Amino acid sequence: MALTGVLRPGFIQIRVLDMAEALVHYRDRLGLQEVSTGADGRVYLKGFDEFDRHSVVLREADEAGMDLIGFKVLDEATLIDFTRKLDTANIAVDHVEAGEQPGLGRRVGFTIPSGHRIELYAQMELSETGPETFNPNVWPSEPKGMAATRFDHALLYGPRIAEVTDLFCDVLGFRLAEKVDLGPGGLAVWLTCSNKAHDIAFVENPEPGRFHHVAFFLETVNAVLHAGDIMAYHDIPIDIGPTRHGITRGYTIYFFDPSGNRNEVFAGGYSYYPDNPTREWTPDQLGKGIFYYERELNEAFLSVYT
Amino acid sequence: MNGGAEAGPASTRPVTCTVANATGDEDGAPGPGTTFAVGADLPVLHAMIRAAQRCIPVGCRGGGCGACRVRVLAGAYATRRMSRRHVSAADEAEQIVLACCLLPSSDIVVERAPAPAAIPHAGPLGAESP
Repeated sequence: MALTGVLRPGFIQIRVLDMAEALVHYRDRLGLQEVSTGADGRVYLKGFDEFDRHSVVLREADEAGMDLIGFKVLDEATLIDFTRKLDTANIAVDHVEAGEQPGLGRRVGFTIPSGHRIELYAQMELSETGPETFNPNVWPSEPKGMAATRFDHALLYGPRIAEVTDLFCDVLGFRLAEKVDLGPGGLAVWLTCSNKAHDIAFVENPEPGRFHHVAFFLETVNAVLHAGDIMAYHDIPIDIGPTRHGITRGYTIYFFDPSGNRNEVFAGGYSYYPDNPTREWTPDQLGKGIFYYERELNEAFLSVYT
Repeated sequence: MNGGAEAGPASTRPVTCTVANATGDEDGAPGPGTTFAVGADLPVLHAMIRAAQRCIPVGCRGGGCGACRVRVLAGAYATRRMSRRHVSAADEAEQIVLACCLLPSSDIVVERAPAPAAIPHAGPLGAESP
């Protein structure tokens, strides 16, 4: 098997200010399947094309933002191996017991230099409403709303991105697909653990632990435009788009959930292979890298996050 | 609706919002003040956008990012829930709110409020936030 180690960003836990509004947004507008509600009020959802039980966890809280991202690794032996590697790299880990989220196995958690919490896990129950595996239809049930297929990636803002990059590459086996050296402003990096152009991205920012966006994968560019129609019909605030990224080459719309967390619908993007060289952008071309058609950043890209 | 001062009945709307000491420009340079109508059930920031004004910075529009922090100088209002990171309980007691969550029930006057001191809020490349 070629893809080992860390497989993918498996789930993200997002803080929302109002659960009822958030559910309308993530379930009815994005089209995620609602899986369950925990005893503590957290709500679990997934995209229609995901086999695992859940990939999005909503937690009602006093402030918006992201609690953590969980990366799924190949198996238990891999999880043990990564725990050793983190220890060797002097990164303090903690352990979350199996079942803290329903259907989810034990997790190994740690805080990275940018202030974000990352967890690794090897086991999650399969969804009862996941993709079919016997004479499979293209979807297990008719997708709703924007027809989000899966939780795809996230972009996080924080300090010490050079150290974060080393940690992801040297300890967790990610590769640096694209980067922008901002000089005294630090780094912006797009990291992949798979065949995707990115599985997680970071942009240097003085405030630690900030959340720029969570992205959901759509099947086609037409689906991105259809998502835009849904945003207009339901008066969902659009940040920018539809447009295209120079970096990753994906088609995109940035928009906001009712708590102000930025979402992205994303389609396309190139296929990455581990022998690909890192693509590099200069700061004077950053606008084109982020928004390929506009060729300039909008004000919100740098300053608006949760 | 959560927190904030007690609101009158929504049927008293539409009302107006005046942003004191502002021009219609996004830089918020001192000026004579800018006034726009606020329709029923519409937060101040959304009404400002609909009126094609830009005297308060626009961010996430959902109470999460803090870009549109203002202080209410006069008027009755309610608020939607706002991120505590950007509006503390002490802030709320001083009528500091996020314009995207601000639902006035009478004519209202606001002024732009600076970000909390604990939040540097300067992006990469040293860019200043709005």
